[in-house]
Amino acid sequence: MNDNQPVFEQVMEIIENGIINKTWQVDELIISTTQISRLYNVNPATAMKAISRLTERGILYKRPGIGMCVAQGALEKISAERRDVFLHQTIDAVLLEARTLGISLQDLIDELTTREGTHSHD
Amino acid sequence: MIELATVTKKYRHTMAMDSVSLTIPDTGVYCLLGRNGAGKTTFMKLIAGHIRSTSGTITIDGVKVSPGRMPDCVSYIESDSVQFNMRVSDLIDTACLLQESFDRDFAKEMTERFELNPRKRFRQLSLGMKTMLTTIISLANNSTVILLDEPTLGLDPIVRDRFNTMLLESYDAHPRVIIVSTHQMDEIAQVTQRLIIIDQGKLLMEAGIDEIDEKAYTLSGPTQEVLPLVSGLNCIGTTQAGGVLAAHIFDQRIAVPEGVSVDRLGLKDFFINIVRRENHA
Repeated sequence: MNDNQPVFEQVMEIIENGIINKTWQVDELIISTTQISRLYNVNPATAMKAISRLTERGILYKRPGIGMCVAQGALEKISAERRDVFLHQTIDAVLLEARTLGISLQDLIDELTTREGTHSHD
Repeated sequence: MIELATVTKKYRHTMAMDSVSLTIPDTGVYCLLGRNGAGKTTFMKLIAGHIRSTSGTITIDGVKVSPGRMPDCVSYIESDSVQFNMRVSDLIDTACLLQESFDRDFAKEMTERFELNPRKRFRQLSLGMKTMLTTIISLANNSTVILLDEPTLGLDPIVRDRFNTMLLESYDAHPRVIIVSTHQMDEIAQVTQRLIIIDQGKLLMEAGIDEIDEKAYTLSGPTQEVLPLVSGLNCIGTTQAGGVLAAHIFDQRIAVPEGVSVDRLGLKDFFINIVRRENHA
């Protein structure tokens, strides 16, 4: 766990990552709060809070007698949210840092183009 | 449900408990935090009915608690608890005979896990292991309220870790009110659901551990940048050095400008700030 975000948000991210990389697919059971608290050394109450927030957002749902499962459309919902964060906050931060370091916009564009070029040859 | 209504306990010259009102409505693992002499032991002894309050009332499930009417459903375990000087295995057998619903399997499993030699007599055990055995016996019986006064005193870090696991397992198997006092704050933060902070006999705060996870943080950066952010927030303490200000906040999280960093405030630092603020007020 890092030191700047609330732990429950970090647990939410761990679960979201698991859905994005398809560790848990739609209607499949996710990791339990007990398992989360053991694995990541977090308080079970905190793990529970992360799961209830994801349930409120329609990412997870409860299957009575079984446990928490991935909801229909969860992957798309998470991707859309992350896309939004990337296009705004992440890019803002990159632009700001570039300005601080005196990297021109053109240099930045050139750098991105070269990178994308090498990646597409992979 | 445990209810304290303006409970005061005065010893000759000291105010051990100063008009404390508190309701514990649900089962849960509660952590009682306070400096030495803050009134933690008094708090527990009052709930257990071991001592009489000077004024105010304590009720458990609507029944008034006093030394004349010590509640059967409460176990209070001191850190220097004393048992008959019998062998560990005999102490467990006796507890089992005395209490119908005693969970013998749990007690056996835990004595093995904590490497408590069943053939050793009580007085041959170290301080930590004495407390551990008494704690195991009380968790295995059917008390609905368990008060553990510094149960991890004298335990090494590995045993403390196993202790916390035992607490969680026992709670999962039998949800009830478990109140634990400790100075090992960042360790109990992994286990407890709610916190009760007392200082100089007064109740300073009762809060969920998840509230502290979410709302307790530190803003740090150049003083002129941090200062305007802090106004309007509940600031519980500050540290200043060389033009840099660190403000400890217990409030909603806010978006911060570049140059200001946000760090989670751990339970220990949260506690230190809350108590320090009270002493300066």
